[in-house]
Amino acid sequence: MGIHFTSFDLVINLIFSYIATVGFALTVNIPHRVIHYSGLCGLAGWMVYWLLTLASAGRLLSNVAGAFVVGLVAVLFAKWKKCPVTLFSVPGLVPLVPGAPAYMAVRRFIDGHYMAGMQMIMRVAIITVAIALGFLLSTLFQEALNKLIKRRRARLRR
Amino acid sequence: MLIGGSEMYRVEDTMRRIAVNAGIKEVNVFGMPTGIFVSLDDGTNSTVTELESVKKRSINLELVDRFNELSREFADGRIDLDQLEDRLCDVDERTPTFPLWLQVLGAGALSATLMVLFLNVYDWLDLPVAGVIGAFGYWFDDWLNSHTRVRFLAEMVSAAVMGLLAVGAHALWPACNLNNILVGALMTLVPGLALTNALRDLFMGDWVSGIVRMVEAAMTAIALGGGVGMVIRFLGA
Repeated sequence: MGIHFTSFDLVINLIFSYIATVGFALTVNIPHRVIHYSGLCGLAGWMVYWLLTLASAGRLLSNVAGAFVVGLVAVLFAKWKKCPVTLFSVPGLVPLVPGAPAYMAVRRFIDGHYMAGMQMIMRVAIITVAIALGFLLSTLFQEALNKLIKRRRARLRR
Repeated sequence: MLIGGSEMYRVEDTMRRIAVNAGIKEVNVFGMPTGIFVSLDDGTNSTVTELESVKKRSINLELVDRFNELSREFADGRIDLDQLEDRLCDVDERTPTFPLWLQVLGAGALSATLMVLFLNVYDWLDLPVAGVIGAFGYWFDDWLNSHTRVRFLAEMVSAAVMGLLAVGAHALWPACNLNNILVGALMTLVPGLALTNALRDLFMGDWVSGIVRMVEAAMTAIALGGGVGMVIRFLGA
C-alpha cells in the first residue's frame, strides 16, 4: 500500500484544486479580501482527499477526512480574518462534491442500465453523507477549541 | 442571510443576538428556507410576532459576510438600532457583485480544472472545450433565470444546451471524450453544495429547512440529468 505519484501529478492537483475553488468562489460572489484563502481551503481539502485515495483508504474515509480538513482550515481562517466560516467552507467543499459519479449515474440511466445507475446513485449518496459527516466533525472540533480557549482565558484571569 | 445561503442555525442565532442586544427579554426565532418568524417579548404584556417570507434563494457569500459584520458591530455597541436598519437596507440593495464576465470565467475555470481532478486523466484537448462549454452553460443559465419564473427550467435547458455543444464538439474533433467534457461542464450547475448544506441543516436539527433544501437540490439534479439525457439519447452519442 504505497503512495505513488509523480511531481507532475502533485503540481497539477495543487494548482487545479486551487483554481477550481477560486472559480466557484467567483460564481458565489465571495468578498474580495478572502478569495485566496478560500482557494487555499479547497486546496487543503482536496490534497488530503487525493493522498488518502492514492493510499487506497477508500472513498468514505477519504471524503470524511477531506471535508474535515476543509472545515478545520475554514474555522482557522475565519478566526483569523474575522468572518463567517461559510465563506471558506462553501467553496472549499466544491472539489469534493461527487460530480463524476453523479454524471455516471445519469449516463447509465440514459443507456437503460437501471441497476448500474442505482448503484452510482448510492455511491453519490454515501459520498454526500461522508462529506457532511466530515464537516460536522470539524464543527465539533471548533466547539472544543472554543471551550479550551475560554477555559484558558478564565485561568489566566485568575 | 437566508437569501445568501447561510446555515439555518446561524441565521436564527444572529437574529436572536441582535434582538437580545436591542434589549428584548424573550426572543423566539423560527427559520425556514421559505420564510422566517420572529416573536419578541419585551417583558410587558404585549408580544410582537412578525413573519417575513423569502422568495428568492441563491448563494451569495458577500451578503452573508456583510450581515455578519453589521451584527458584530451592533453587538459591540458601535452602531445603534436605527443605524443597523439603515445599513441592512443599504447592504441589501447595493452589495457589490463580481461582473458577469468574471463569474463566467470562474465557471469556465471550474469546469476545466474539476474535470481533470475528478477523472484523473490529463487530456489537454478536452480541457479548453470543457471550460468553454461550462462557461457558456453558466452564462446561459444566468440569462435564462432572469427571463423566466419557472424554477428548474433554466437548469434543464442549459443542461440540454451543454449536451448539444458537447456532442457538437465531439463531432468536430472526434478525439474529444463526450463524457469527460460533460462531467466538467455540468459541475457549474450541479447542486452538490446545496445537498451538503441540506444534510448539515438536518444534523443540526433544522428538519424543515434541511428537507426543503434537499428537495430543491434533488429537483435541480433531476432537471440537469433530464436535460442532458434527452439530448444524448436523441443524438445517440
